Amino acid sequence: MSASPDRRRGAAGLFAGRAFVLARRRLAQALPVILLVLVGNFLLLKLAPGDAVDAYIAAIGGGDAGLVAKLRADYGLDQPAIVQLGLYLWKILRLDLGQSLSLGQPVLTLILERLPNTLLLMASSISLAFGLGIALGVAAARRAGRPEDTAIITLGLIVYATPGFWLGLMLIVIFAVKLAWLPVSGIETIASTLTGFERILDIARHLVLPTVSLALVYVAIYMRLMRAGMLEVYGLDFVRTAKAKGLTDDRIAYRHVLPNAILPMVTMLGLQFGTLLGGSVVIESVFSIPGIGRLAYESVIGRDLNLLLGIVFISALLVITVNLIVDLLYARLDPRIESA
Amino acid sequence: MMRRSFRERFSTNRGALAGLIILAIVVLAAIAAPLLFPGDPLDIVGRPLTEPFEDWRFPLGTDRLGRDMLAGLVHGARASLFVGLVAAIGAILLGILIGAVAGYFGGWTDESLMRLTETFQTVPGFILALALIAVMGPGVVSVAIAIALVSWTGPARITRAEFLSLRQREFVAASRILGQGHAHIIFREILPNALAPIIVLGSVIVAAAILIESALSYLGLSDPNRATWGQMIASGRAVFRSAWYVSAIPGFAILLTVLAVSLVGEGLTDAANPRTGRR
Repeated sequence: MSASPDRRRGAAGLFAGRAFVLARRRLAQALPVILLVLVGNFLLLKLAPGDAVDAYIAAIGGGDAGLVAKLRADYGLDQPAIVQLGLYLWKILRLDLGQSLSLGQPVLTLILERLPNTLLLMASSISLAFGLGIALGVAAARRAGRPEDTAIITLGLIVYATPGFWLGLMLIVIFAVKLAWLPVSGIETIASTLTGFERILDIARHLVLPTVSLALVYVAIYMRLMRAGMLEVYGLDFVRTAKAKGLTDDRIAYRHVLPNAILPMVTMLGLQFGTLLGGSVVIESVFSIPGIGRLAYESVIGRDLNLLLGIVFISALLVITVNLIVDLLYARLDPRIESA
Repeated sequence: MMRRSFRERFSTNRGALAGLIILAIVVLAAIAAPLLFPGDPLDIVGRPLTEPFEDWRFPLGTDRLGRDMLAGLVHGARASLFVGLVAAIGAILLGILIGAVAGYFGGWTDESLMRLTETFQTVPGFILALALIAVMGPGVVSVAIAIALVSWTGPARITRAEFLSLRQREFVAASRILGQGHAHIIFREILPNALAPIIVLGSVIVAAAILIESALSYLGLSDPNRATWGQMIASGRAVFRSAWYVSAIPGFAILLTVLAVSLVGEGLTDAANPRTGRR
């Protein structure tokens, strides 16, 4: 029952002992999922009208039958489907995601170039959703049944029903156009000479509206979950004991109930990451942020299936990575979780 | 007795009733759209950018091309509700099928179907929807199929969990001894007992489907020749510095509709679990 020793070893302990076992197990579970994503991608490529060679010939403005046949042979497209699948997997294994036809650059380069902007948006949105959601959830649970509680719940339902992209547009109208407090779009001022701290401030100003638009739905979700979790813990015996000891309401709420209610929320963080990443497609499009969400949208418009499937693959890897980190974090926060 | 108290619990819930009324209005408007506003809502009928309440012929004004906003809104309700409902029903049926088979048979069937479910949960739904639409081509049908294919994992997990707990019960063993086939046991014996939590989840799926549809049609991936709420918001983008109401009004329509669906869903959940009720 005693805390396991690697909890006391600090950051190094994260990769030692049971955390390591947990990580290895999770990775082993992730492998079939990655394989299935790739098989799915391959199926979509096969189902799409025309193959990569057709698209390439169209892009260079036509070519004779001999060139088409040679290209097909070069790419293995004249082989049986199962051999093609093997070739496809082997290519991905060497981190070769192919070329983007619409942008004329390697898919991986394009994605890695845009990824930091998306990750920045994700990080700020998750922080806002988690922080504000927990604060509101705690506030509602402590006043359960009272008008303040009902008000927070109703507000949550309204926010949950609001389309994020529309909220983004309305926020632009109010805060960027009418009040002119914040920039309309982009991730930073174009062709600016800002450096260091001023540049960070500039990017932060650009991130305010997209972050609010993307995160608000999740504020509502976390608020509800946190409220329910708090109420559940309030009903447990040890809270009654704490009350009987004569502890103050604040102390019970923040020292006894909150830490126990917050743990399941960490898991939700991982589960919601995929939906959040999907939501960035439309938010990045509304705010013209050059991230992988907008890249996904541009690839649909540009009929660039290879680029789009590259984004599908990389975003699946991202979700797996984030969930792994969340699992490790969870195991560290809650010593009762064994690697089993 | 049980049925009556369920209805009582639902009808004393003011939020649920309000949701039901809003939803009824939206559904009626969608059904009556061709009667209320005969003709194509995309036709130009008046002076562009007439503001709401300015001209009695166009109570909600006109957009930048002079199309009647109210007509678009009412016809848009058809597309949004239709796609949302069809996609949600498709997702729920697919989820029930996969979850039921996984939970009933267990073993490697369960194992492989669960890996499939995990895969669909790992790929961000909206990005997968984009890929499916890219393959199928834009349009109302592709949008509905894409939404269904990215929304079935929740119902599948719930159905599987219900089946796992129900398949050991005596009534299942009894019908097995009676020599009933697997299909009969799954759909006639277990499924009716597993349906309640799936139906409650249904309102969440419908709400989410309407929201995804609005985002996809905002991005121009639905049918461009049909008025949808998302497409109306997109068309307002070009003028939203001067006439922000063009984007604002259809957004409110989406908000109200999704809110109504959620409120009805809440009411159903509370009425179905009186004890956990308002928690």
